[in-house]
Amino acid sequence: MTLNPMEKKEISMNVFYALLTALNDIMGQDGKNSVLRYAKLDKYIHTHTPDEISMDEKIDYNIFHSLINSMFVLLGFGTSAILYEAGRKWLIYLSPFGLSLDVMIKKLENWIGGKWDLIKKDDLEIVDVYECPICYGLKSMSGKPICHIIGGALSKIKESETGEKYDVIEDKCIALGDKCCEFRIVKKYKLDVKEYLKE
Amino acid sequence: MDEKSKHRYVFKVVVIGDGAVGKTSLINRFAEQKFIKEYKPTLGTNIVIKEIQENGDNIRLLMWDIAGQSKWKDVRHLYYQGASSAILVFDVTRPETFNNIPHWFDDLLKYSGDIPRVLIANKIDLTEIRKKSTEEIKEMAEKVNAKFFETSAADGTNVLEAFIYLARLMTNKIVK
Repeated sequence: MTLNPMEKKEISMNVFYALLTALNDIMGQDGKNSVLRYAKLDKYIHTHTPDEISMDEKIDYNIFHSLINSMFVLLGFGTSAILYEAGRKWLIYLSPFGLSLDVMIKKLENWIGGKWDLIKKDDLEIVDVYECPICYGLKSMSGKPICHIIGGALSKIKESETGEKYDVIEDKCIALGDKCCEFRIVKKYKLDVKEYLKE
Repeated sequence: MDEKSKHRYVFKVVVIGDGAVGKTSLINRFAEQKFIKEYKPTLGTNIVIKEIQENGDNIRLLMWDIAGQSKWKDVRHLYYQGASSAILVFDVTRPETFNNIPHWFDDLLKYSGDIPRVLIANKIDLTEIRKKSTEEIKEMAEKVNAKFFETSAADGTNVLEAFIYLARLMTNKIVK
């Protein structure tokens, strides 16, 4: 049976505020507010990130999904770089402590939902996300994967863990009709990120 | 399909130029027919959506009002990606903003490529302190290979014309 992320109802509050803070860093205050306005989440425009958020505090999944959807509409048009960078920043605010990939994907599963599997093949690491909470209910208009936010977050996790540079390529995406979103983690010297991000 | 509504287009338009040349005011004038006299610098980028009908086509413009201040220089290149067209803006009362147009044009070519564009000479309502002549503007427009418009976001002169011209350029490019 597949789980509809909407049925999860709630996600961790820290996930939502970390994403707002990441957006603020990359898009500036006006950019972040544009996204919030389009998502009809105006009430968060003047809300500052709380200094401390208990991991137990929750927010309605629909609010998080509205924010993600708005990011796709406004920022995702013809560009993956901003969403990828937002994912990297998001991870920094979620967990600045350099935890390992297998620990972090379990945390992400717990915080935002979905079912996350880490597959190790030879020297390759692949992350499969079933019931992806990012692209849930969305269809890719470009014929390409759209979960650049997760790609960015995974690249930052690997960098924090190893101190080396990594790129993450999304090979499969539920928004394209695949059964899961699949991310391949590649050491930076093996691939030019500009080539990957080229639309 | 309704004959009057032939196609639907979505275009990303980047609006670039030095700080305080009137980028936000031009977009506000075009999108909401209003002008706010008080100056408030854009922080990062502001995104405004405007839907227009042109020759029966529905055109959705995602206008990226990009901060002109240098503090945003490091992330600005991200904002250019995926742009379908650009508006280069300077202020006719401040020659330095005119002189910086080639720098903005270089950035545009570097990050967005050779996309349709217009040059806007803004604040022409301030006739007594105007420093740039139509002849000089024409020369700059030739350098950046763009049609130019002399506009005033304050009173609305030529603002609609510039945006509609740009929309036509983009749809014509697709048709070709």
